[in-house]
Amino acid sequence: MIKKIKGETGKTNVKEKVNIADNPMFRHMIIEGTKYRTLTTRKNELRTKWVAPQLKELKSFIPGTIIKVSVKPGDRVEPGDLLLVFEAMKMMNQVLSPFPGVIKEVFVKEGDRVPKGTVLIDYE
Amino acid sequence: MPLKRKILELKKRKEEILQGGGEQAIAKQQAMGKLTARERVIALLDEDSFNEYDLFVEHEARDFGMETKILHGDGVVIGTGTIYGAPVAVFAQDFTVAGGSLGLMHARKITKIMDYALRMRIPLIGINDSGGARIQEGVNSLAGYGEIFFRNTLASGVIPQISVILGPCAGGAVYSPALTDFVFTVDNISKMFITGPEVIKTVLGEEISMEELGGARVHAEITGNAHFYAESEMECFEQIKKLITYIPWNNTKKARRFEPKDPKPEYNIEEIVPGDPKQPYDVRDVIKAISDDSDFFEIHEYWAANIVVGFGRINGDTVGFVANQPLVLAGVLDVDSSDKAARFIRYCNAFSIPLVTLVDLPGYLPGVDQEHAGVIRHGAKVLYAYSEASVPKMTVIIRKAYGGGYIAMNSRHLRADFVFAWPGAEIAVMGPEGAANIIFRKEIMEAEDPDKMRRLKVKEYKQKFANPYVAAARGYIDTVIEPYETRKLLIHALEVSVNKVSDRPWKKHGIPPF
Repeated sequence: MIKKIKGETGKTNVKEKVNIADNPMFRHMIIEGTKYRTLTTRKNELRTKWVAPQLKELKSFIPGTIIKVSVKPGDRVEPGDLLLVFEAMKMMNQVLSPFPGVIKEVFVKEGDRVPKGTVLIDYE
Repeated sequence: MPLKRKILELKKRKEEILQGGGEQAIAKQQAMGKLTARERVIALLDEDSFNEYDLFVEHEARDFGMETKILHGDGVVIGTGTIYGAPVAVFAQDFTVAGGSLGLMHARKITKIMDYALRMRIPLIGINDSGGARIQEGVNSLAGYGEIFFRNTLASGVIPQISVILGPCAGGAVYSPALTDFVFTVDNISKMFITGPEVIKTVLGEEISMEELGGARVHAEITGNAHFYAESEMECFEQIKKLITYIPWNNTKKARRFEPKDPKPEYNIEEIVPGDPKQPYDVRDVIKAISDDSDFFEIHEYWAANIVVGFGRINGDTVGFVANQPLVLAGVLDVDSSDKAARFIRYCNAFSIPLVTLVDLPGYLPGVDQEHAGVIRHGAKVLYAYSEASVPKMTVIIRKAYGGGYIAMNSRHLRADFVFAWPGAEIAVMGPEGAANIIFRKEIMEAEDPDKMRRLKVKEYKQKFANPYVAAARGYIDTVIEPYETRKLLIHALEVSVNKVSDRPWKKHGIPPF
């Protein structure tokens, strides 16, 4: 007997007594080799699959604005070379190359606003 | 001047102040579907019980044109009253006065009533409805918030602190509710966030409404910042009143005792739980089959629904129920359900409310996101909270109690006072399927028909370990009982535990895995 939050299609929360025997909302979940019948939650539905990090992709670690782009595709960079100036939380962050390499692609231009986790630069 | 005229003058002054921000502002408040601060306090408290203080307080700001502005009561109503006869201290921010913004005197009024509540050892209820800091008052306004947070922490675990979010509560202001015991929210009215939609839009270009970012549903279902969700302010006040009946006035008192009542006959404890441990049921029905009058007051109903926590009564006295919920996510422990349970256990311990734990869980939720979100650290909170709790602790193992989950759910090893198990209880390192696959890996692999061999070995394991008698043979559980005996035994266990002593080494405080 679960109450429903108004307007929600009801993943977890249904006002009427749920008919456990043959309710299509029930799923199977495997825990340590055993299959259980159960309902899920909205938060569980929103879980994202993990993907292995791409070591050659330079991503934004915080949301912000691109102030300056100092490299272009084909440039050879050494560790500590300036790649971007990235404004975030009222700070001008100098984004330096973490390792030596050749720039494959630059995905942003000056003035772009980017959310956290955006790929900014790709190395060869 | 004769006294009569002075009384008339008082009445006139009061009348003016009681108008708050004036007709226009009140009309605006009503248009948003909101009550005014005083209407709220009056609706919440017993009839005619509210006494307001600091009505005549005025701000002293002298900059940015503030010197000409009169802000009635400086935008907040404070006072004392009763709820079902129990005394409470209340503050309610008045959005009609300068948007309920918090200036120096506004904060001083709040801290005054907080000090009063702490001194008198009575519950504090704060109704939040404020645009945030009063920018014209600069650092004084920040100082005000800091003084409130400090008192929230000081009072934590001494008096119950309840926050009611009936409007915006943004930026630093949200930390006061976050420091209190229970947060109540109302659909379409409550809005809580650290950085609002405006800032998010400027920085990120992402457009999101206040409701989607930090509305009541978000906090009740996704973040867990809200403990209660209501569809209207009046429903919310009923929830608060009900909560007050279960909890004591302070940490030296016991919760009020009610006339004992048997559970309702429609909750037949023998019929709720399916025999097959893979089949779901609603554990709240089991709670209702145990509690007085089948009454259960659930906390965090929508958040981390794979564990159920809340108050009920057994033989007239309040107890805190913690129960795995096989209906949702098979009743696993995960990051959120661990946080939810640990916090509730600590609340009950702080306010001398005995704990009744109902166990039926398959283990922990698998997943990279869980591991990376720190399920180790969060899961440890449950162990910490149960081990630390010195109130009477009763455990009933209903069906599955596997692995780390068995230990975490108030096992004997964490110093449960009484552990009972139903005959269908399976107390083991893991479920029969998983265990058979490991122990008999070779036999299964080498068999002519591996599936048949696996089924055979699962059955063998089940017979040997998937029962309560192995644990009972070591005294890890006190006795195996028939389901119908549960309530009777819990009543007895509570009676026996009345004078419980629990010796602990001296410490300033422990270091829980926050």
